[in-house]
Amino acid sequence: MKFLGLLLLLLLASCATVSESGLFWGNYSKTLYESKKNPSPETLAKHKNELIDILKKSKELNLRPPPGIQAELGVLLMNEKDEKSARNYFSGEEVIYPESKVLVARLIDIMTGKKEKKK
Amino acid sequence: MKYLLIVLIIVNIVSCGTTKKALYPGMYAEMPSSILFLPIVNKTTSAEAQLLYSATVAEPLANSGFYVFPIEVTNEFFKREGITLGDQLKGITPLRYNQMFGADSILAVTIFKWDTNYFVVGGNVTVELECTITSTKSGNVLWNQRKEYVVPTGSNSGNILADLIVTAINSATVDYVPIAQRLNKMVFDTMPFGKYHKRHLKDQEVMVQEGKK
Repeated sequence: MKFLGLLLLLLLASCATVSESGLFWGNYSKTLYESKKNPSPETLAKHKNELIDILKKSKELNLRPPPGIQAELGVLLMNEKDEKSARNYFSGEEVIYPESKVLVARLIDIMTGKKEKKK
Repeated sequence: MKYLLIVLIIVNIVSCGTTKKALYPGMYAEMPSSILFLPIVNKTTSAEAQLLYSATVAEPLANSGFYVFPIEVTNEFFKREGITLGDQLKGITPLRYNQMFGADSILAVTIFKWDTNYFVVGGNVTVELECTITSTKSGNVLWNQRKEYVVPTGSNSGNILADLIVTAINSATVDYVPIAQRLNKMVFDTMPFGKYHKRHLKDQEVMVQEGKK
């Protein structure tokens, strides 16, 4: 039983770090869930920080960032009107994952569309 | 719990299944590299189920080697079209998702059951799900699973008194995120690996159990 416990612990520990396919997710699901369950500037900021942290750690560990993380952070920054940073993350997503091309183009359209409206 | 684990392990070892290739030939023939997760069809009364499921689904899918479209972002697009529930997507052809997002495949999830059970010691969440991955190119179903999952929530230290106390505390404040994570790991256990996984196309002979109810 102790062995099983150890096995479970090992399994848990490996989940918390890097996946078999080489991705680091940090506490992504947890902070995302919190920001949905109790939407507030605080829970959203926590989730945003988690996204930044995931990207930072992935870089440190020399890993590909998990799919979608850069695009998701880009949208948060776009909503904060930080368009320059948003654009950087959008193109980062597309460079690493060409599958996101259509989505990223639509996001940039929305971002520039907003700008046009303001004019 | 102790016996359940042992039984589970034994079942896992002795049960003979079918190869992934035989069960999901479409996944190997079409090799989708990206998956778009659609808003959930929730047949339960639990709004929580939907929230927990969609917050935890991207991780195991991406870990299986697929590009998973950022759910938070794609959900915003659906919302702009007035779509928040999976039921509203009826009649939309798979090809449309390829045009809208450039997705190779879509994942549709229906939650039939999400029951939380507490026992004297421990507890579980019993979930019945149907998950279907459909190609946006051919329109073929590439992977499908309808199954009931029992995910234990309790602790199991071997000390009944300690477990009782932990269960009592847990019942009030169970953190369901790791439980939903465990569930989603179980759900995608039979999935052929995608292009970002080192065992992509090397798992065709792996034996799996077909999840059909």
